[in-house]
Amino acid sequence: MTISHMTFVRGLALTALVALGGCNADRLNVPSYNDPAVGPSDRPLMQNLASGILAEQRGGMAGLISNVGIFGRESYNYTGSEPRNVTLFLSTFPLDNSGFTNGQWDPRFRNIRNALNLIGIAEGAAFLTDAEKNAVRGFANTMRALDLFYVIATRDTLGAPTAIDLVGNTAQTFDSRDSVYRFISATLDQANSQLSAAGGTAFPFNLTTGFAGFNTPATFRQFNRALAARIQVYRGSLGCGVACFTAALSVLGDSFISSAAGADLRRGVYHTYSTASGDALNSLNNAVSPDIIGHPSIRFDAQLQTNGQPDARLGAKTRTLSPARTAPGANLGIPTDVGFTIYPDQTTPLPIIRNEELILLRAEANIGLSNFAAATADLNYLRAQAGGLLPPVATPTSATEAVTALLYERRYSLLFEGHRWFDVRRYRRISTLPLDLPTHFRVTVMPVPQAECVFRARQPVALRGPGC
Amino acid sequence: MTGKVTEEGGSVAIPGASVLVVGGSAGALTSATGTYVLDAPAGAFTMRVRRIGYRAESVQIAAGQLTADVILKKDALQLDAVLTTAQQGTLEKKNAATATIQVTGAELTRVPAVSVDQALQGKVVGARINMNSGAPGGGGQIQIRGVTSVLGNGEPLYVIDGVIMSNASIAGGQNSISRASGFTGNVTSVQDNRTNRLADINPNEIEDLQVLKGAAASALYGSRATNGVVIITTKRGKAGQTRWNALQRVGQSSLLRGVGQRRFLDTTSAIQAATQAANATIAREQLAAAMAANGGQIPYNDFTRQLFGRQALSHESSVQVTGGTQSTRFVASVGRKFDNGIAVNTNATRDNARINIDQNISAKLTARMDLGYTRSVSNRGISGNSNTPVTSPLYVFGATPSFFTLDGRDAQGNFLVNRFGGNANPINTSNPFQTLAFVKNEEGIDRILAAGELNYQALETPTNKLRFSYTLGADRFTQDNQLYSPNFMQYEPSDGQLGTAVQQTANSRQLNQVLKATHQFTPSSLPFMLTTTAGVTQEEQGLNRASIRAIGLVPGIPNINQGQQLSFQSRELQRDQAWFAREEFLGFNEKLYVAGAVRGDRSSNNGDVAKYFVFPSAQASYRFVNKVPAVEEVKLRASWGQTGNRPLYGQRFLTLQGVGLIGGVNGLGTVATLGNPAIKPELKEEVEFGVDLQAFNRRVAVEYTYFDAQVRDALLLRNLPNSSGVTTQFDNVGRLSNNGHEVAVNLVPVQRKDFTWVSRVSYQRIRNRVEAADNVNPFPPNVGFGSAYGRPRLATGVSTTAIWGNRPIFTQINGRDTAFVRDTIIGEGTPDFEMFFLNTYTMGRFALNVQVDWRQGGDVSNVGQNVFDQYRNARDHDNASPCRGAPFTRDDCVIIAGGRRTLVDTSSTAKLGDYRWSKWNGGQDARIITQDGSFVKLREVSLSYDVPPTLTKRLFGDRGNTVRLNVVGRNLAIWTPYWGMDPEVSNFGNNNVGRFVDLATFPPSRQFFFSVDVGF
Repeated sequence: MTISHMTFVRGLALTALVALGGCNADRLNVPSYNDPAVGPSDRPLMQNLASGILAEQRGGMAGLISNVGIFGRESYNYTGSEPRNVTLFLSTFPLDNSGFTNGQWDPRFRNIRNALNLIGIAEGAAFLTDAEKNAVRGFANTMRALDLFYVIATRDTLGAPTAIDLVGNTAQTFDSRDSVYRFISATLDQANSQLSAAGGTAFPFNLTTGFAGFNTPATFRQFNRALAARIQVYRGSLGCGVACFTAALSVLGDSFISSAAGADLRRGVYHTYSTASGDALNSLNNAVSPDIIGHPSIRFDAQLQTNGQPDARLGAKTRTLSPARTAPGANLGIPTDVGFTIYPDQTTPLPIIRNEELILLRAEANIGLSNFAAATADLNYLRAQAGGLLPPVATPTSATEAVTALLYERRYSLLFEGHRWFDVRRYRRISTLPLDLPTHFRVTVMPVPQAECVFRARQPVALRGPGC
Repeated sequence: MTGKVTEEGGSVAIPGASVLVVGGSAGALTSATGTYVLDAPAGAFTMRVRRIGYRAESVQIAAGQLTADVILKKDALQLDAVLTTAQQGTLEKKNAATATIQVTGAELTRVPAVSVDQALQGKVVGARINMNSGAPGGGGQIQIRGVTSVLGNGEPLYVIDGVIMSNASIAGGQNSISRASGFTGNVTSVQDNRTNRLADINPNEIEDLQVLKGAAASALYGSRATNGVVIITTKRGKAGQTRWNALQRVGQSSLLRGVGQRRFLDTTSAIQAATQAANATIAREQLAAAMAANGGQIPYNDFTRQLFGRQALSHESSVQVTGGTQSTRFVASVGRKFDNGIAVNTNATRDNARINIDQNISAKLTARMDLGYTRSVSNRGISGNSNTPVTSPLYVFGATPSFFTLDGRDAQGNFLVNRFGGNANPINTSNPFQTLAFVKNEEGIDRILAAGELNYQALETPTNKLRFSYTLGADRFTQDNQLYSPNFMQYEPSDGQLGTAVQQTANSRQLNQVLKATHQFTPSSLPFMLTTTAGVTQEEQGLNRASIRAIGLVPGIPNINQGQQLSFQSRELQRDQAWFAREEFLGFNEKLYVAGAVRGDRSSNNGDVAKYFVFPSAQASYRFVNKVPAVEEVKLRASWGQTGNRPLYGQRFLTLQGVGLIGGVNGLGTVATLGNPAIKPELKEEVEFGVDLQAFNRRVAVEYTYFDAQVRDALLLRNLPNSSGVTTQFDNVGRLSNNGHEVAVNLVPVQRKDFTWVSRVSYQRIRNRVEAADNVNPFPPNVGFGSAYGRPRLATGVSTTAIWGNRPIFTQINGRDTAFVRDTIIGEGTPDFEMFFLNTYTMGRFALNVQVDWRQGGDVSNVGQNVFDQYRNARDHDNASPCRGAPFTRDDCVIIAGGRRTLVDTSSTAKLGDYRWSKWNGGQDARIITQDGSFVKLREVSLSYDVPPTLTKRLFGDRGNTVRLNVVGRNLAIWTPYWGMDPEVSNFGNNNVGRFVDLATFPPSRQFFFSVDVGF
């Protein structure tokens, strides 16, 4: 190679370098146009994040109620083109962990992450006062406790992780059922003190109309205490016993419970829907989901009022379908003519927790504390308030008898609101659920999704069980 | 200096031949009469004359010589072609160290095609080129050397005259009627029978097209080159007398192959089938009515032949003019191609205009300016997958018994209401004859491709030449989709709203610029030449799409500003910057060629936007000349290279996502799939070896290539524990490998003065495999209908294009018979091999070209047949079931029923259609619809006749006129065991992995054209 050639090569390299100088790397910092990038936050963003938590949580509710409705023999899903809505819930053992019956996991953890994100953003937000930060923490912790409740209520003995690794996204250990409930209680209590610390300040965002009356930190606290009462009662029934039942009665005092004459049993906190473009409809409504229908046992098991008519709650919450619906295939399910009217409109709000449940929680706590008379008073209050001319029940003489009475009231007072399956399981009465066909079986837990277990199968042993 | 270039053995002038001073910059092109005028240097020099189709000749010119006539020999096998190397360098084919495909414009336009991809079918060894459907207007995919990416871009980079052009395929909104991907959340879908925008290129404008396949060949395109590069060069102006060329074609398309319908021989089976698609009452009622109208006989309708039986005229007109002076040369062309589809209201129109100008500004400074405009309009009807209401014609045909006269009208002249396929509810099904008559699904493209280039010859001495060049390319198009389904359509009430309208606008804008310097060093004392190239590039691509759907329309008004609306927008912007350098050595009598190159790339799509990813490559070839008797030349070549495939826009971002409106506020939350701020380009490393051989006085040429490519850092969705709140993350965690053999044998079996036969046979065998895909989401996005029908799925150690689906497994566990369903490998989408046979016979003034393509293997997921079987309407339904009298041991005759091994119907009357349906068993055995897609296609036939000059002179006068008459045909015949219409289709359109799903596709057509080609 000659000198002149090398000179030219150098010249070319120089040319390239000069030209490259004109290529500014800053031009390569192209923004994300389609989705908002995680980045600096401001006060308006707090609203979107809070609404996101509400929307994500709402998104799981219809599925929850429909799924546990099938497990708890409250409902059927007789979609013609999808017989798996019957088979995979009632006759395929074990439950399919890759779809259909593996819900209440991914979106719930996603929402827990949303709540933790919101807290993280609030922590460093210069635009929030300390009181507002506490309000945000109280809101987010309450909501994430609620999401975790839906996870553990559906997984029960399988347990669930309670921690979330926001940075590394690593798998966290499964905690036992009781630890998860303890964690939920603690989170709710923490949220309670944070809401208290928020004092008279307002949330730095608006809640939906479903939170009417509970939309300031001070009033939201009543909602938080109501949820805390549910958790304490669940814990009480799952082995914690007296301590938790006592705690339940205590926190109920700070909730919005009311059994005054003529008290509004429907008062509470709801998820709202609308027909606006981008919003969601209540998919438990008959027009939205015509194939979600009632289990016939609801009608047969209703007690009679003194006038010979069935429990007024049955009439108020169901209707007779004509003609009766049959399963989308032979030997799948039994015919039923029970339809729900609980969500009469496409936008009927869906209850998260309401006064009627609180009264039942108080009754349950009293049963757990053997205060049968107090419990019976509450049950009879509901029988009169909601059940029409149902005759009052006598004060039971045993806990078993008391629980039987309680479960009946819970079944009809909270019909198709996502409680029945949990209730019979809590009191080991899952065998009271009817089997419509010999091929059917009674589900006790929803499986952990396959994807989670496949992931954990590659992790150290400590991370694999007990859920997977 | 002047002269004339003519063909050997006659006085036929050769126009367009290049005449160059070897070692100098002067050059000229011959005129229409073969003459040239060269600005010759002082002193003696060597002059090189070449033209595609002829062997290059070198002529020694003495000092002061003023004329030189040159005679060129025919080069039937085109062994002396000049190739474009990456970034527009050139290289003689004889030295090429990589297997590069060159297709001339003449080969592309011999038989008209709906798009360049279709024209390339069977002409590019090493590539799989398939059309997605038979709809007019195009829609195809070129996949070079296997699957190179799963989540990233998987299609080649297209460069036309230095402009990096968009080959986007943008869904048009058909989904709003077909509901293939659901209705509520989607206006458009990947199942919209999309057209990739290569369809906008007019093959008549193309001088030649090259395909760079291997990593070394394409390495200078850096992080966009893993899928190969297609370089299109349009025609350049030729100095001299202005020359016109006009082409007029008239022809028509007709249905190549339908699916037929079941012919009902008795009322029982007719009612049984009709009941399946409606109910017993409707079945009896409709059959009775149909028989009453047919003299008591059961009528038979072959719906596909009726709806797709149109044979309307198509035409193509093109005029091209070229001319200019030595310093200003131009070529301008305009053309229109109008294709009528085989169904009513289906057609495609493409209008093109182009002007290319070359200007010598001074002795050292030259410029070119190219401007092309395209308007493409297509009406492609409705086809492909469809959900309730079922509107896709072939889907409805699957559900409709043949006794029902779908194309009939009632007394008022309205289309009959079809009661079949909607579970007795007519609003859940449709009448395809009504659908295609009234639904408008129009896609309009306005596109400008512009290129400018400046070349500056900074230095020119016998030993040193230095040249700078700057190229700017722009590609801008707007896609406008308008879809309208009038209120009165049979299926319209199904969503409670009458009428559906979609308006979509997509704006695509791409810019690229290249600044480079080339230094050529030819030492007079040493036997070699060194060429050094270095430069920088910048690229930018933007795409902005907005689509709006309205339902519930005012009758007759297709606007979207009414009714209930749903709208979407997506934007993308990508910028890239790169530098490159290349060193080439050519020496020892042009026998040894060695080149090395390196390119550094950075992109706005990478996690680290400031980091240059460096892609090196090297290649070498050596020619052994006349070492063996009768073998003139053996060339050994080898190359190695790395290229990249940058991530897609958006994959690097950590974002929140909208989770819906609640309480009037948009909620934001965590995404399910995390972006990855550390994402980087996929990296392909490829080695290629080849042998090229020429023998028997250049009448035999064989090319053999083996390639082996490893893709590392393949982008996949890495699994995260769902309990962390996110489920997957884009990550460079996969490894893929591709290898294959490419063989081309070129022969001139007969070469006489009056008869020549040139034959080319090529063979390709490609294998692609997943080397690592652990702990990732194994399902490629946007393709497949799940395990019941067969779908792609990634698994380490398994073919990337394997078809996975359900099959029953019968086994014993603890001594008990057990039966269960497994999602496992049931087929392979990649053919065992493909062969292409091209024969050209020239006899006097007649030339005959015949191209036959053979694909062996390659399975197809025949979901369409499954629809026909579901409703007992398959044409072969009544054939005997293969399981008549089968024993319990026959694996193809057992299914799982009631949780145990059970025989299908084995009675002596069992029917084939029923057998297939019961074997499929609700999706428990997808093997029955996974079928062999082997075929032999008569792809192209053309017969041309050159009108003798004596006659043309009488007609047009004495201006060196040429008149050529052609009769041509495309896709004239297909021989295949495949049940469906065409195994070469893709319901999911352009996609990287799963191109094997056939469902209710637009039927394939055969095309005939008569054309006249006049030059004057």
